[in-house]
Amino acid sequence: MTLGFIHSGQEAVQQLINALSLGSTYALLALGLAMVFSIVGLVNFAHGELVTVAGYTMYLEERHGLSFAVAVPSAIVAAALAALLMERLAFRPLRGASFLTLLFSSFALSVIIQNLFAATISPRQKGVAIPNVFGEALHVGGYSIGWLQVITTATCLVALVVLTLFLRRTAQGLGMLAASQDFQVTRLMGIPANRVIATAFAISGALAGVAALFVVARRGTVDPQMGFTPVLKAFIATIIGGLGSLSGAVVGGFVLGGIEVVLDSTLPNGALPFRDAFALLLVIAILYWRPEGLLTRTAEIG
Amino acid sequence: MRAHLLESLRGTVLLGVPLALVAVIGEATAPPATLRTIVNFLITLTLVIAIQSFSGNSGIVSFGHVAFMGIGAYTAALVTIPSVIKQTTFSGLPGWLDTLDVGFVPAVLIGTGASALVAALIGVPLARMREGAMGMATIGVLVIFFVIFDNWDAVTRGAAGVFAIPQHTGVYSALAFSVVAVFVARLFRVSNLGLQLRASKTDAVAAEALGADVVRMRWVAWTFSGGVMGMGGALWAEYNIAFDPKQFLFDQTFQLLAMLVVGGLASVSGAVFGAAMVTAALEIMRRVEESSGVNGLAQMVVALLILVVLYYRREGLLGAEVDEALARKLRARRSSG
Repeated sequence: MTLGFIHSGQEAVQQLINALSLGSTYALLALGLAMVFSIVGLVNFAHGELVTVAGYTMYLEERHGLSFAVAVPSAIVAAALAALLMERLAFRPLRGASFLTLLFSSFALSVIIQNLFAATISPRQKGVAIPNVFGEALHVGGYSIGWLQVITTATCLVALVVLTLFLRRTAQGLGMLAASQDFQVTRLMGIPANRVIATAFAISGALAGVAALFVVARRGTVDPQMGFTPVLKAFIATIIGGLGSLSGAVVGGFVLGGIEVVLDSTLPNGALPFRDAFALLLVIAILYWRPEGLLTRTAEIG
Repeated sequence: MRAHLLESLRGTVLLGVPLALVAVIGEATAPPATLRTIVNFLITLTLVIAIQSFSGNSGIVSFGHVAFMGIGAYTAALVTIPSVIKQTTFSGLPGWLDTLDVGFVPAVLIGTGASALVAALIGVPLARMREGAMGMATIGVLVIFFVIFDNWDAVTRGAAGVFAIPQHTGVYSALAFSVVAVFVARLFRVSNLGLQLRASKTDAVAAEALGADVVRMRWVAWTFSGGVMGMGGALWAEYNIAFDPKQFLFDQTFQLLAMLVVGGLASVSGAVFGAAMVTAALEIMRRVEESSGVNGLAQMVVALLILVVLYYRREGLLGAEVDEALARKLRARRSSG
């Protein structure tokens, strides 16, 4: 390592794993957003509410005495179902509408869901008990690394590999990949539109559910706005990577995670509260250099 | 040019007369709480029109304009809070600002200029991006300035917010500035640049092929509307006398965009109409909220209103300027009769 801000091997490993775990959470959310955007042209503001749905599922199940091992998979399923429901009720009637119409409708939907959670459960934060292992550190050859970061990174990487295999190795997946490149032509090839769109929403919901697990593990609480900030970061990740590009979204997520971690360890104490502003200015600088994002849809790798 | 001026004037009068009536009647008869709503409505009008002049002409959404409202508000506050108070409540203002104490109109102009300047700078990288990506990047603008307002303690007093701003804005000055906003927005809309920009909304590639410099036009519209937004923010600060950074974040953005979507993004008349509709809905629902004790009811109703409008009238309630639609109807009648 020749980077000046890293003083020891221990710190370097720590920062790297921090960047990977933060970046992989953003990547999962950004990938879900990109998948829906590339197929239906919708930037889904209500994506954050899928994280919230998964979070509250965990909270409610735990309160009814169900174990963490049950709560996690059911939270992921709940988020996927919520995404399917969103598509069916709110977005299908607007299919083919302009970018702005779709965007505003998802914006409105997001506000409605947030307020519903506030009105039916509580506007305040609720604690969720997280298994102790998430707070402990893993010791490998003199290095200690947080289990939370390790589990986050590993799970996200597994999710990405599974999704890639699905997209590249199954007929359904190849249909989705084709639809993300050119939806109209894919339809003409006989791929059913409703199924492709529903699958895209279900996948984006499931990815949001996985991301929600780590969002909750990090905060230890749920509240009606909990999905908002992480998804805001995911929006930024999708434009860094190139809006509409699937691999771009993943790259963008890791780039943003990396920027945040590097700023965290290099900014002087007085400037730390401004971290998000600096990170976003850096992003805007990247976009000045590459207005189309790092990987545009036409120049996509693979 | 003369035709543009006349057309804009005609539109301004048509929208200005009902607004003036509301102001005059409100001033004369309304109880203080209602008058407050009227003044805030007129100020909000300036803010909504500012966003309309960018988003309505370019077809690009902006979640970032509330940042310019904030810049206008903070700038106006800093130049009008009495210097005695400034010296004791702010920790790190430069000496010249500590003793600066200007009147209402200069404060609004300084607020307008400051936010136009910031918009011009940040607009350089933004305007180069594709429509969708630029819209999403404006969220970044909102967050950047919120972080600055919230943490730059020496100049903004951070999360504590600023107070003791003299209340300069009244019902007639709010009216006057909102009419000015309507007029400049109408003028901008029919100007050569506005017309070309609106053409680029339908097909940016075709507009480029015909020689329109889309990046430059978007930058000009962004800067112009950032300035108008700063004007609205300054008026708002000079009426509400105290505020904190959270008031320049997503709730405010949602409210202003709701007005625009409900009324119709494409026209200034739509912005005015939507602002009136949503203000009325919010006022009613806040009362229901208070008596029923269910929080968030007002926001939910506004969100539902957006969905209903988008389902049944995607272009909003008024897709075209009122006077343009009237003139078209008159012409049609004349030619058929």
